[in-house]
Amino acid sequence: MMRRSFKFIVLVALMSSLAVPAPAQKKNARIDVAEALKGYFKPVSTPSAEPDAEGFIRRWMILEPISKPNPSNRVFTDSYTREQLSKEYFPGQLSVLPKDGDKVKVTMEYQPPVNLNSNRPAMQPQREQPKFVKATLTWHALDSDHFFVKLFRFATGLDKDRYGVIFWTVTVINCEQDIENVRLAVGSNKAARWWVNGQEVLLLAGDRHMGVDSAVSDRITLRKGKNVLRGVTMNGPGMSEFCARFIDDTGSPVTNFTISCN
Amino acid sequence: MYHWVKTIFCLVSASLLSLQSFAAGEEGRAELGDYFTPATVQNASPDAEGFIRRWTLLEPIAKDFSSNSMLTDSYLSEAMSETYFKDQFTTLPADGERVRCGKSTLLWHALDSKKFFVNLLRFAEGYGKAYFQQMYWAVTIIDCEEDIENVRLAGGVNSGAVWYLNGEEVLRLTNDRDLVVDDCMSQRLTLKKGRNVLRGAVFNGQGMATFCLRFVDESGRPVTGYTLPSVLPNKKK
Amino acid sequence: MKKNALTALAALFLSVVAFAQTGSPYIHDPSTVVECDGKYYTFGTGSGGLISEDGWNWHDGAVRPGGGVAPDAIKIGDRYLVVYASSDRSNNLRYHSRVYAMWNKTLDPASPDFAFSEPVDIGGSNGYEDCDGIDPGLMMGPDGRLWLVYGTYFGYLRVVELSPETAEPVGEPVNVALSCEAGEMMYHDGWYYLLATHGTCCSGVNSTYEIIVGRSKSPTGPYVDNVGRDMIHGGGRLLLASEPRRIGAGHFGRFIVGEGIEKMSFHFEGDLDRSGRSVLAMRALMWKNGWPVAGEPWQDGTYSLVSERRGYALELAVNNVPMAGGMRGFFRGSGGDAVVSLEDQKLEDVIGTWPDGEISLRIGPELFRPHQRWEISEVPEAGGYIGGAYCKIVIAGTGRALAATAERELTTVPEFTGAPEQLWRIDRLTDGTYRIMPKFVPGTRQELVLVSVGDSTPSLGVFDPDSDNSKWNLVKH
Repeated sequence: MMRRSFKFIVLVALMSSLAVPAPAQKKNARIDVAEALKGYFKPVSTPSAEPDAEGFIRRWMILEPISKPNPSNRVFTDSYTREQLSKEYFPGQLSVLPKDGDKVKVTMEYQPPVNLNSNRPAMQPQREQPKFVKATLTWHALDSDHFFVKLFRFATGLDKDRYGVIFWTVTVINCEQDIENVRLAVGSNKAARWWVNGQEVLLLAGDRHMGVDSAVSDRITLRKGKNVLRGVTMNGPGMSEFCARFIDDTGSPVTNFTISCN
Repeated sequence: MYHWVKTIFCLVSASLLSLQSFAAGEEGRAELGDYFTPATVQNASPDAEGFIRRWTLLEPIAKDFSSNSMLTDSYLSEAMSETYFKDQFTTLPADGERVRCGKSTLLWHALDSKKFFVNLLRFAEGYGKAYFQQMYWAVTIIDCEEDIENVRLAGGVNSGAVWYLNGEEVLRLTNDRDLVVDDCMSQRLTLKKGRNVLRGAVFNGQGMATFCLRFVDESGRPVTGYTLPSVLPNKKK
Repeated sequence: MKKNALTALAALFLSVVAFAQTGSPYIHDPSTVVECDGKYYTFGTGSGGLISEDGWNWHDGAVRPGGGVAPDAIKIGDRYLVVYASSDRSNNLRYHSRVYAMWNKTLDPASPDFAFSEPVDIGGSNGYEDCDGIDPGLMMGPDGRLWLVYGTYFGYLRVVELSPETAEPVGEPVNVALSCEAGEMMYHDGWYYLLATHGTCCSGVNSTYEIIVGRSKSPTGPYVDNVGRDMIHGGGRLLLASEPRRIGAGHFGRFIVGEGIEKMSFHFEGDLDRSGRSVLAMRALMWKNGWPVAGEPWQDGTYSLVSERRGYALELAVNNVPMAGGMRGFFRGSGGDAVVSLEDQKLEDVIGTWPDGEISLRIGPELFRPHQRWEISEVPEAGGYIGGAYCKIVIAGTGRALAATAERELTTVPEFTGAPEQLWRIDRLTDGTYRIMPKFVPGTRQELVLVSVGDSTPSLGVFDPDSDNSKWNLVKH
């Protein structure tokens, strides 16, 4: 008698879960990250990594996207970019060194789920009064399969908002000695701000696309020991991605460091 | 018979006289023979690049221009409207033929240039004549087996010149020019079957006096399919 | 009224004169410009010649004994070889001309080492032959062999090899060209080039002087032009003739500034802005499809500075203010509206959005907007360099000036003050692009130039002639 009741309860529970439509941001959904991001990312499984042969940094802590709808990509002027990427989206956003699975509670603008049956990305309607929702976002420790970090596929693989979003990324650069006169070289789709050891080194504005070494910082020093490289990337409708490396005065990649998540 | 003997005698004499003028001079000193050979021996052709080397040249006539910059269109028109000697636009002179030009008697000389260009300064110098501020008349005969159409007369000169084909002006080179192959071109012409007469006058003030002439086709390639007949002494043709 | 008119006239005079070698660059038949101990020298027909401390401002003072015509000069090892020619017009031998060679350890007449050796006859014409042995030109080939070319319109130009130790001839001269003078040879990328001058000399503003060129795989020819004509046939491709206000280019000389940067020196027979006198001139020397090409004289004006790396324009790092008038729909007409011409975005439309103080720079897509429009103009009192005067580069319509920083980066200062880090040297490279270099970078003696370090990021770096990162194009508005 007990077994039949148990089976019935399980059956009801299963049928209930199937009947409930999945919201845009799944709460507490257990996703096989490796499977979801296959072809673009792998979960970090080693204590440290190295830049690839061309110096690109592939190991990142990436926070699930914060919804920030933009009606078009033409709004990304210097001042708009700086204004939007200076807001506090979560406490400690400029200092955190998260671990894989750490969670962050945010309040963000609501956007309806994307209509995947449409031929074109959904253009967000103009809202006089944006509606805000609360969400819990997770940090993921990932190695990109490519020289670039395809934030768009990170979002779609994890079934998150894909357009009109902000991605926070952070990684740690470990040096055996000071490395002077290097520049951070970033290609980005789209607008972004980047910091090294808490100092802003790059502001990328405009309706830009990812080009290797598209924007390059002033000369900086990577100091012996740990250096925190943090970036926040914002996009409207379209692909979101970036690539980042350090180059020397001759434009050649700097590769004599390791990368870790903390 | 006597007529032919006389002709041969004149031919040989003229050749011998010409050869005297063509003897090589002392070392380092250029002589006529370095630039020309007599043109009385046999028919010639244009050279492999089409340049016409056979010319009957008149000893130079003094002109009044002090600088080659004066060789403008209007100066040349005016110069060519003057009469220097009888039948100057129609004569087909024989080698050694004389003309009266003002108070002077000038000789025609039938010559083959050793170079693609005709060095008039060395011509004048070789015959002991003045060579600066002079006008040089030149005539040659072109014999064609068939009409040769759509050719252009291509000329270079130091310094100015006017050229006539079969009595019509076809090419004028003005101002202080330097000798450049194919510098100026006539309009399209026809070398007619049979005899054609190419005649001109070259003007030079100071410096070197030279000219070069050839016919080229529509592609700029030299035309060579014609003959430059020999020039008998003292006989009009 | 009179004072204003005079001021205007003076300004006009200065603005015109600034586009030419300054000072007193009066010379005829200048030799190749030679550098000696940081100064530049050129010798001319007659006696003496010109000296310049910076390559831009010239004055009398060079000393060359012997008189004669059309000298040339070259540095060989630690010595200078100077050649010139003179003619014996006696006995009616109008073209009896000889080339003479002299050596000196320095060209600086103030130096204790200044002493020309006795001139030595190294060739010429005997007065009878088809050659007038003047207008000598010297070239050191890539293999260390020394060559002399000489001759004028009277007959042939000739080439003969000389000993680089004694300058005496080591072979027989070879005829290489006809109908020209002022010969000079140079070597580039497997070819020997014969430069010569056509046209009427010595006629001032009526001269038809022009510089022509042919090339050969051998220093003794045949030299052939761009349509396959031998220079023995009077051939030659035009390098430079006249420019507006400057008539009759002749007597070519080559000056190599560095890899990828070359200049040509010559004279104009008549400079209309200098009483029609014969003057020294210099232009950039470029190479295109195996032929030398003369650069144009500098013109002040409004330009975009476009990176050769990416084709993006140097711009202030300010908001790109959109213009009114976006896309008007696909495949539709004007909807009944008349088609009108839209005005460019004006400076006053956007300058209010720019911050005060220094503004940094980036490189962005060229939209011909006010923050991308640069007025580049010579600063006469700032001096110059070989072939040009220092310029200021300011945002058009403002005094905001491009400047180098002590961090070896770039900035713009609100107003141009004439400080050396705000002065720019602009050299046309042999490939037609430009090298743009500050006169001074605070805190370093290193020679740095404007570079693209990223598609969107300019900086200062070491010049690399083989890298498009070091090169720019100037697009005139």
